[in-house]
Amino acid sequence: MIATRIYVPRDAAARSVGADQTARAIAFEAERRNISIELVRNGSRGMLWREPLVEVVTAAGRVAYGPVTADDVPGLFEANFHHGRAHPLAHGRTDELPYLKNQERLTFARVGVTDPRSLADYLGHDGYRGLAAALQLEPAAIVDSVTASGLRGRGGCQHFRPASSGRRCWARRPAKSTSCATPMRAIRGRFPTGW
Amino acid sequence: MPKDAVPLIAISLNLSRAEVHGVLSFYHYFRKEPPGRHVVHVCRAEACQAVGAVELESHAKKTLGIEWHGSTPDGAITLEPVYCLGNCSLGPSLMVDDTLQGRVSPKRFDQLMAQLKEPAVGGA
Repeated sequence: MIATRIYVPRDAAARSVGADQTARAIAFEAERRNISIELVRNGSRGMLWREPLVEVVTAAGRVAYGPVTADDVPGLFEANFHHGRAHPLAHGRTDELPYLKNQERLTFARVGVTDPRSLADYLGHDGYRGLAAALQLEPAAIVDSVTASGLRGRGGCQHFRPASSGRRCWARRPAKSTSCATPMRAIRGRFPTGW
Repeated sequence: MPKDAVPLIAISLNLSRAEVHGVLSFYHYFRKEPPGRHVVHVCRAEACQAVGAVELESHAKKTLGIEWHGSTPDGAITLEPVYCLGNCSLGPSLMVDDTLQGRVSPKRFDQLMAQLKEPAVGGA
């Protein structure tokens, strides 16, 4: 039997309204009912008013329920939410919700979709593709391609900043500390600084 | 930071006692007396005020019987104000020690405080 994947955010806002308790309740109820699940702690989709927002992966895509408190969990299993069925807290497919459907996400494209600490998730969403390409190039060629792209800014994190740094070659410069909200991207961001 | 430590700090850092006192009294995270076993920070910023933080604040002071920066007589809880925990969409917010709490109604506040007053499992 294939485990049903269920997402419960682990970000600070979701946890402030009981996401950890909700996640524990889901794991407990699933075990009690002998239902095989894979519990993933993702980031928040950003719909904080619906946190804790629980998502169930179905054949039709991810289905959203929220706000789901620990007390709601037994009733959700009764309603077969783990098969994406109807419930007063159900909101249908996450991707179809107007809040998300009307957005074009760039820097936040993976936030809420993946487990931010999962390398497999990051790679599954095209993570490190640019880095893999860059590793095939000489440092000077990387500088040229970044300059040609017109990319600028981000200087505060010591990421690429060719337009403000006068195209100097960072390849031989010592690594500096970087910080970022998404750890896999932070690694990607600081890699050229140290390489 | 006991009062007697001020001259020692002043000498070590080559500052006047007045300067050290200025810093210690300006920043509330420096304390003259030890806090209670748990520190509860109640958010007083605008977004939380818009969704009931003022009511929560008076409820907290009344039920704990203390004012800002005060500690309950049993040493369990110290009450502090804080200005924005970044949890604006889920206010009223507070921090119980290191744990962020959102949508805190007076009833939820009472539940959280009751947990703090319980003795630790297995004895302290």
